Parts: sequence; structure tokens; C-alpha cells
Amino acid sequence: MSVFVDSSDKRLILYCAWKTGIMGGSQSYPGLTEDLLEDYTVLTYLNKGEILHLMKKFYSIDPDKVTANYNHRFGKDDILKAFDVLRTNPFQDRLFRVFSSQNDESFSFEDLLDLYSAMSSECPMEVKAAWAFRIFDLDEDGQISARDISEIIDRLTDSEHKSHYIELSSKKKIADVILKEMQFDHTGSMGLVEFKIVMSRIPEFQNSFYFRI
Amino acid sequence: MDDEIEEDSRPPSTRRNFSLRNNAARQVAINFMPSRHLPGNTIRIRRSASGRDALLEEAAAEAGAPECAERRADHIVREMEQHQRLMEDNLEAEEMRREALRDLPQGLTMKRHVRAKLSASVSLRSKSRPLSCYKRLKYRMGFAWKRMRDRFRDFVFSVELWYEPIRAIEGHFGSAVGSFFYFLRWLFVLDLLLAGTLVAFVVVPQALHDEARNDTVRWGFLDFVSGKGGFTESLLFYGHYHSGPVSARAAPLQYAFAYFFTMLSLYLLFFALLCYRTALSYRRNFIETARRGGLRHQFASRVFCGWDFGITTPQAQRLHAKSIFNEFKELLNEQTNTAPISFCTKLGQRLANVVVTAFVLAVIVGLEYGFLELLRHESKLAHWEILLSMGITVAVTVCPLLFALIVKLEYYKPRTAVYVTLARTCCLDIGTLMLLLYYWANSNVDCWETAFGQEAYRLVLLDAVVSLLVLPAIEFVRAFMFKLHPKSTPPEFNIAYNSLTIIYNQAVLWFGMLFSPLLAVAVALKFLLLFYVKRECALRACQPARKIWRARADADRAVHAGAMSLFTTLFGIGTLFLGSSSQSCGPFKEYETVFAVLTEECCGCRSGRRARAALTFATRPGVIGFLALALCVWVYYMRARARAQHAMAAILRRMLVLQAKDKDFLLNAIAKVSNGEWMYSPKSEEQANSHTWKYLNEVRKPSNSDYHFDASRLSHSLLDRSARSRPTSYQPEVSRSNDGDTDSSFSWQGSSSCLNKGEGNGDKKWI
Repeated sequence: MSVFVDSSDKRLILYCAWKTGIMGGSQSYPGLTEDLLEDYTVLTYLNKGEILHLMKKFYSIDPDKVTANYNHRFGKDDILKAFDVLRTNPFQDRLFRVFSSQNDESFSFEDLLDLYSAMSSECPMEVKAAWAFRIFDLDEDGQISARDISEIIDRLTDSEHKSHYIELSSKKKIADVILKEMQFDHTGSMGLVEFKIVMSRIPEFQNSFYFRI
Repeated sequence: MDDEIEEDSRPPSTRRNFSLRNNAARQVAINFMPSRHLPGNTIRIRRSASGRDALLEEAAAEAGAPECAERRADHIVREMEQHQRLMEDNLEAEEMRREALRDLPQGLTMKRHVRAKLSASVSLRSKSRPLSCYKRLKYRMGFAWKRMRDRFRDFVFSVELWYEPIRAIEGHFGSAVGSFFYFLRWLFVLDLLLAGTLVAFVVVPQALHDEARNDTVRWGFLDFVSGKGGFTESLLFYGHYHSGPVSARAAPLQYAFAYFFTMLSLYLLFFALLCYRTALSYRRNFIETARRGGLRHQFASRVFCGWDFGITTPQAQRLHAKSIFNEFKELLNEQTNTAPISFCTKLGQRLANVVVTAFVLAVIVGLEYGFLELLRHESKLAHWEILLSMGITVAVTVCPLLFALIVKLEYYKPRTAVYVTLARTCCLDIGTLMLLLYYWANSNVDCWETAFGQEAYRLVLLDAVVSLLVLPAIEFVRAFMFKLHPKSTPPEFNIAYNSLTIIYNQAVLWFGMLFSPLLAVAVALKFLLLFYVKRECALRACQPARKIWRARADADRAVHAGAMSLFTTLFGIGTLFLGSSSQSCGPFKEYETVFAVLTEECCGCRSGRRARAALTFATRPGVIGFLALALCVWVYYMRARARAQHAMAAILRRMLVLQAKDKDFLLNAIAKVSNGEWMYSPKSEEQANSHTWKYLNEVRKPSNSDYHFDASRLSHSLLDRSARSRPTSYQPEVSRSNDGDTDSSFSWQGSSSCLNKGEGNGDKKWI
């Protein structure tokens, strides 16, 4: 049970700081210029306040390194310390793989923005589905196959605990049902297009594939 | 598929390679087909297509990141350049390019790369025509509007209410409980708006007027609870409000107008808002997703949408994993136990449902009758009305729990059971409020509006005690007991019951607002406190639920209930108040009916006979009945259309599957060709067409002549296009290596180069 501080007032202060920063004040982050911020708002689904909030968190991991190199890439552990949402996720390794632009399991600030933009509630279903597809495509062959599905089930049910482990035959059955429901081109697995179609029919998808900053 | 899921004897790396190659080859072949190369009608399709290609390339060639990225960027730019409208050098196209880039499922670095390339390409192509004055103005205005919207969003984010608490709750309990708090917040903001408007336009003028008169009100505790005594003649209730012009220092104000139009616009505005939300959720949950049977994609939704990405605490993670496991188990059981239910058991189940529903209805009617008798009962007790309100509050609090127990006797699925309970409780709540309104409207009290206002005030006050003190206390006691005896059941956060409480409060507010304007302030205040109390309850006393709740649907159901209660309120007020307001008190005492404010004063209809005749005609039951009937017909027509479209969608889906079979066949044939084991036989060619053609013929039979699907034109155009679009890709050396019998317009060269990158030289045999 966490004790938390109502940070809405903190964010208000941050917002004001940002305002004064634009007006020519001193509070700003090195490297994050006004132009760049504008670029980010154009290319992601986040707004300025959110981007600055993220920057603040990112900056707080190690201010010196970010000051020295704006594109510094923090390792997985550092990122996990600052962003608790990623800590408990069963697809953590996939998130770090898919959203890391250099495929090195570490995030620069832009990678982090990518992740939060895809997870934001503004992001349309199609784009979310495309990212989700890459996350669920565990063996990265461009297809979600029966093997992927059975591993997803393992991850979801936290199968390290022996008590809740779904047997192989059941997993196979589930995979069978899912693939039979949604594959249209009989490749024995599901491509991106099929995945998008199915996700558009499940209203919960947008709610579950989402977290807040 | 079987060999993929089970462990087989081959070492994993070769197996992986094999399946990867097979799948990728297949996918490349499918991408190669004409249907994937049709020019997109909309950018969106195009966009997804470009994303798809880029993704595939990435899957095929993982290594060599920089060159790959460069190539991918080029690819995306090429895709976008094919769009004339997208590449124009004006602001509209710029905006479209921006949107297209944003929707690209690629990293930021890639997007910026692509953008730089695109803008270079655009400036190359630009014809640099000077903009007309009008266009420039349009763009500038559009830009300013966008700017303003962004600013506003920034502002909303920075002052967003209860941002961190809701996030913490979502992290602990998942988005379902989070959505309850969002609903609570939404209602709170709604009531705040309501309260603000009412205070500004109704209460403050009267208060200024009172100041001039200088009245004093005596306060007593029981009076405070019952709202009687000195409170009767206070700003709280309808009867106190003055009729005729109010003149306090400033210009005079026709008070009846102020009261009438404020209330009217508020009711109509919020009714429209609720209707909009209801319709939106209905469309989202039933029409767009086409889940009529409620069974489709059950597994898919668990597998791909099962995890709530917002969960942050390890404890919640464990519980969530466990509940997903249980859900899978249940679903698998359902799958295996699909033995047909015998007619007798089915009949028995239906009968049980009917009996229990009849019983519940009887209980509701009995309670209502009891309340009516108690209301009529002339008691000598000093504060009889307080006791009565207490009785109602207790009934409204306890009955949902009772109904939730009763529903277990029936044979509903858990989800349906929740909705049935919700419907029954709403029935009880709204029925009770309607009864009270009816009783007071028909009583011979001097000022029945004030009496009803007092009733609503008492209900809100007493319910505040229950939901702010008693229920949380019970939850904390249960949590304490759970700590002492870990084997007992811990309290869960009961979303259904909690939403029912706030819906009940909102319903009381809808009913009472007209007769007691300050009630909106009270309810807003109560929701504010309720938020903090519930938050503490949830985080300190409750455990995450053992069953996963589907977030959106439940919040939507709550909105439906709210809209329903407002609808009945409007109905009740329309029939009981507008026609027969009391003549002795309130802002409308100078008018025969409340409606007369509109007819006499506003339209100046005192003189104009024709206008009055029109108004009386428009409000006649016959006319309203006719309008309602027309509405029904229209709804029915729309529903029929929706059904027809469902049927059409089903047909198209079936066609898609059939075409997939064709494709499958063709792919097999190609595989055979490439292995050199294919022999030409006319029979197999016939088969190649057979699925689709058989189906089309079936559809186009005279008996099915409703569906005019011009298949011949479609397939011709497909063939034409494929022949046109790939004339140059023919590579003679490939066809030499094959048996030479392939279609000349078909080549593997383009696609296999992509494979060669990833697979190295392992593909040679395959080609």
C-alpha cells in the first residue's frame, strides 16, 4: 500500500515553471529546446505538459549524464527505478526490446516518449494495435503463432508459480480457438492485418493497453 | 501448428529458422498478391499498409540496424510520395503529412528522419504559387484554433483533478476500479457545474433580495435534519423563492423567468449530455464490436487484452495473474462442457428466472405500497418524517445487497447477474422517488413543492451518513477481522454496489433540484467527500477483486442508469409539476400553470391568438404521441438497416475466408512449382477458381437476387491491375531455373531478395 502525495499542485508548479521557461526564465532542461518540444508534440500523442513531466522524471535519474549528453541511453535498471509501471509488467522485456531504437534494452528520452505516446489514451486503436502486435510477436517473425500465444498465456498467468500453470494441451486448445477465429489467409498464424481487425472488435483493448504518465 | 507448439526432436534453433522461413516466405508471397497492391482509397489504409511493409522488412532483416533504418525510411517516404494530395505544398497537406507521420507505428528517430526527407521532397516538387488572401486567412485561423486547443489540453492536464490518486488506484486495482473513480469524478464535475449555475442565476438574486428584507432564521439540530421549521422559509426550498420582479440595487429581474429558464436549460443540457454518452457507449459496445452472441473472441480478449498495463504494485500483479488463470480455467471448462442442455432443465431454469423476477418485483411493489401507507399515516410523533426518510434510506441501502444475494438463485452468467441486479435496484430507486413525487403532488399541503424538496434534502442528508460513515466503517471492520483471521473473506471493492450508491444520489438530485436548488451544492460536496473516503477505503481496507471486471462496459452501464433516472425525472416533472404547481408559494404563483410563463409572457401570446393556438396544438397528447410513434418507426428502420449490414458483413467475411482458401491453394501450387513437382492438369485449375466462383454463383442466383455483387468486374479489374502493375518484374533467369510453366507476370525475385538478407544462403534450395 503506497503512501502518495497529491501531486496535482506539483504539476501546476511545473507547468508554471515551463511557462516562465518559455518567457525567458531559467528553469529548463539542457537539450530540450523549444523547437524540439514542438517537434515532439507534433509527432507523438502527448502534449507539452506531459512531455515535460516525463523529462523531469527522466532527468531525475541522473541529471549529470543527461546534461552531458541529451541522447544518453539509460539501462533497463535505471529506467525501472524511475518508472514503476514497467516494473510489474509481464511483457517488460518485450517493451524494452520493441521501443528501444538501438535494440540494446536501454532507453533514450525519445524512446521513452515513443512508449508513452503509444500507451496514451489519445493514441488511436490502429496504432496501438500495431505496437501491441510487435510486443506480442515474441519470436519476432512477423506473425503471432500458436507458440507465441502459448507463451503469452504463460506470462499472463505468472507460470513460475507451479500452482497456476495451464497445461500444454489446454494452451494448444486456446491457441487453436484464437487462430481459427481470426486467421483469414490460412498461414497457421496471425499477421498484423488480422490482429488489427480482431482488436477493433474487442472494446477492452484500448483500456488495457494503456497507462498513465 | 502442432509441431510448433510441442517439443520436437530437432534442435530449437533449426526449428525456429525453419518455421520463420516458412512463415516469412508465405507472408511475402501473400504481400505479393494483387489485393495487397491495390491503391488505397484512404490514407489510413495506405498508412497501415506502409507500416506493415516496413515491419515485415524489419522482421526479415534484423541485423545491420543503420542501413536497415535508412532503407526503411526510404521505403516509407516512397510510400507517402505516391500520394498526390499528401505531397502538395500547402498547409492542409502539411497537416495531413503530420497526422500520417504521427500514426506511423515507428520510433521517434525514424519519424523525424522521414519528416526531414519528406519536407526536402516537398520543397523540390513545390510549384511555389502565392497563396490567395482568403486561403491564408483560413490557414491562419485553423492554425490559431489548433494552437488554442493544444493550450487548453495542456491546461487541463496541469489542473486535472485527482490525477495522482486515481493513478495509484488504477495501479493497485486495475482499470475497472479506476473507471469507477473516473465516473465519480465526472459526476462531481457535472454537479459542480450545476451548482455553480444554480447559485449564480437562482440563489444569488434571491439572497440579494432577502438582504433587503432582512429576515432571520432560527437553527435547530432536528430542524436541520428534517429541513422543517425555520428552514422551510430559507433559500434551500422552492417555496421561499419570490415571484415577480426582484430588485436589489441593480436592475430588476423577472424572477419567474430566471427560475424557469435556468432549470429548463440545465435539465435539457444534461439530458442531452447523458443521451450522447449513452448512445456513444451503445455504439461502441454493441454495434461496432458486433458482439451479439457475446461469445466471440473470448479467448482472444483474455490473451491480448487480459493484462492491464497500468498495474504497478507487485501484490496487484500477483492477484491479477491469478485471476487471469482462473478465467482461463473457467473458459476452458465451458468449452469442454458444452453438452446440450435438455429441454426440461432449460425450462426449469427459465421458470426459476421468472419466479425470482416476479418475487423481486413483488418485493419492490410491496415496499412502494408500504411507503405510500406510511406517508398517508397521520402520526403523532414529532419527527415522523425523519423516521420515514430513514426507512427509505435503509431500504435503498439494503435492497441492492439482498438482490445481489437473490440473483445467485437464478441461472444467469456472472456478468448478466450484475446487470440484472443493477436494473432491479434502479427500478426500486426510481420507483421510490417517483412515488414520493406523486404523493406530494397530489397531497393537499399548501406548498407541496417545498415538502418534496424537504424530502429530497432529508434523503441526501441521511444517505450521506450511510455512505460516508456507516459503509466505510463496515469495510474497515471487515478488513480488521481479515487481519486477525486471514482465513475469512477480505472485503473487496464492490464496483457495482458503489456505482449504485452514486447513481441513487444523482437520481435524488435530478428529482430534487427543481424544488431545492441548493441540493446541487450539497450533492457536489458529498461526492467530493465520497471520493476521499472511497479512496482510503479502497487503498487501506479492500483487496483487489478476484474476478476481472471489464472496465468500460460497467461504467457505461452506470451512465445508462443515470440517463434513465433523468428521463423519468423529466417525465415526472412534466406531468406533475408543469401542469399543476401550487398557487400559494414559489416563483410561479402568479401563473395558472408553470407553462404559462412561456405562453403568456415570453411569446407575448396573451394577445396573439394564433401563436397560442399553435402552442396548445403542439402540446396536445395526440401530437406528442404521433411524434413518439414516428421516432419509434425511425428507430426500427435504423435497427433493420443495421441488421442488414450485419448480414452483409457476414457474407463478405465468408467470401474473405473462401478467397483465403483460394490463396492457400495457389500458394501450394507455387510451392510445388518451385520444387519442380507440378504437373499441369486442367482439373486443378478448375479447382483454383472453384471456391470463389461457386460462392459467387450461389450468391448471384435469382433466388438471392438481393445482393448485386458484380464479381466479374471485380475480378477482371484485379487481373488487369496485376498484369499492369508488375510487367517489368519478370526475371528470365528465375523462370529458367523453374519448369517454365509459370505465369510470366509472376516472379519471386523481388520478394526473395528480402528473404536472402535475413536467412543467408539457406534459401537457395528453397528457390
